[in-house]
Amino acid sequence: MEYIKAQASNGEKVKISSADTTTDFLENKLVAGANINLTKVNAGGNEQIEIRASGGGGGSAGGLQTPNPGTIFNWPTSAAITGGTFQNNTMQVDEMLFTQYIPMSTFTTTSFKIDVQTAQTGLGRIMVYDNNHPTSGDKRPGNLLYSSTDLDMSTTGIKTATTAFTFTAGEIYWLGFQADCTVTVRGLRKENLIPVGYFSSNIVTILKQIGRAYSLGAPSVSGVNTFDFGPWAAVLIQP
Amino acid sequence: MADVKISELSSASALDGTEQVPAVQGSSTVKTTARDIKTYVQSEPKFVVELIDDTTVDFYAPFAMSIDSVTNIVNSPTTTLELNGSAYTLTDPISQGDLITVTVDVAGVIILNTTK
Repeated sequence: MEYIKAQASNGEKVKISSADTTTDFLENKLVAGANINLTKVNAGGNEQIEIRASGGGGGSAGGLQTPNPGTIFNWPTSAAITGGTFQNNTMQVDEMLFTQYIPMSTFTTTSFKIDVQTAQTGLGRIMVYDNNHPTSGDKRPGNLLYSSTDLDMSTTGIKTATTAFTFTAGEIYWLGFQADCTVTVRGLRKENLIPVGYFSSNIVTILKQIGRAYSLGAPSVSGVNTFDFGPWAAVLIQP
Repeated sequence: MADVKISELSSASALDGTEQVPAVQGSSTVKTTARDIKTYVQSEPKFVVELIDDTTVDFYAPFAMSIDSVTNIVNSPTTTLELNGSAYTLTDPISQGDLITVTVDVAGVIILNTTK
């Protein structure tokens, strides 16, 4: 009588708990729920399972720079930018403002929006930069990832830049806004922004680049040369 | 020899296979040897396969044989057999060194009844 015992396959197969009746490879024990995609990467090599959260809610989730896009309290709607007690921000000609944005989930936008409160003849653009400046290691805005088309600042109301831009969870981004006029836009109070520095007893929440003509387009690498405390030109991010 | 009870016989020393043993074959009383009995027992080896920690196991045939049937010992799993990666049909010949894969649908212990 020979005795053969099936070992736990050197950990290749797993159980969910000791009561699990069926062992199997990890990829077969993971089940993708709503808005979750499971993808095996590096097949045949050092395989890994990538867990990716999709936009969710049929594209209705989103929010005003929220790092955790969801449908709660109307964040995905334009009311998120037009309602509430926002603090307006008047732009200086050609100044570029940057504030940090760190999404907690991966999602793809359908648009960026900004709300013009006091119109001025001129144009504005919304930008997204990464946090990997090619020459400076001080965590300032780095490479240009996205620049909107010119948005008309000569009339009030919400200005929309339609684009499919994918934010990756946990990545550090910088949202940027530049105008070639002194338009006043709906702004976010400094208390609602991520602190990035400290100067003269004040928390720095905005980095600025001045001296760059709007007509030159968004720079491929930011040239931040000063800072601000807020408010910030609020950008509504809609997946 | 006068009638003697088995319990009254002397104990044998280590067997060398030539010892004679009576047996009933059909309706006749015949003799066989310890070696023949050993050969017969070894011709139908059984493999107890424990599939508790995992529901599949590979092993290599230690000699030419065939698997004739499967007996469930713990639980009542449905067993699937593969020979060198292909489906195996009971009683098909297996060569020494062939890869045998035993898979059950639920954890259990089974016996593979084989013929050498």
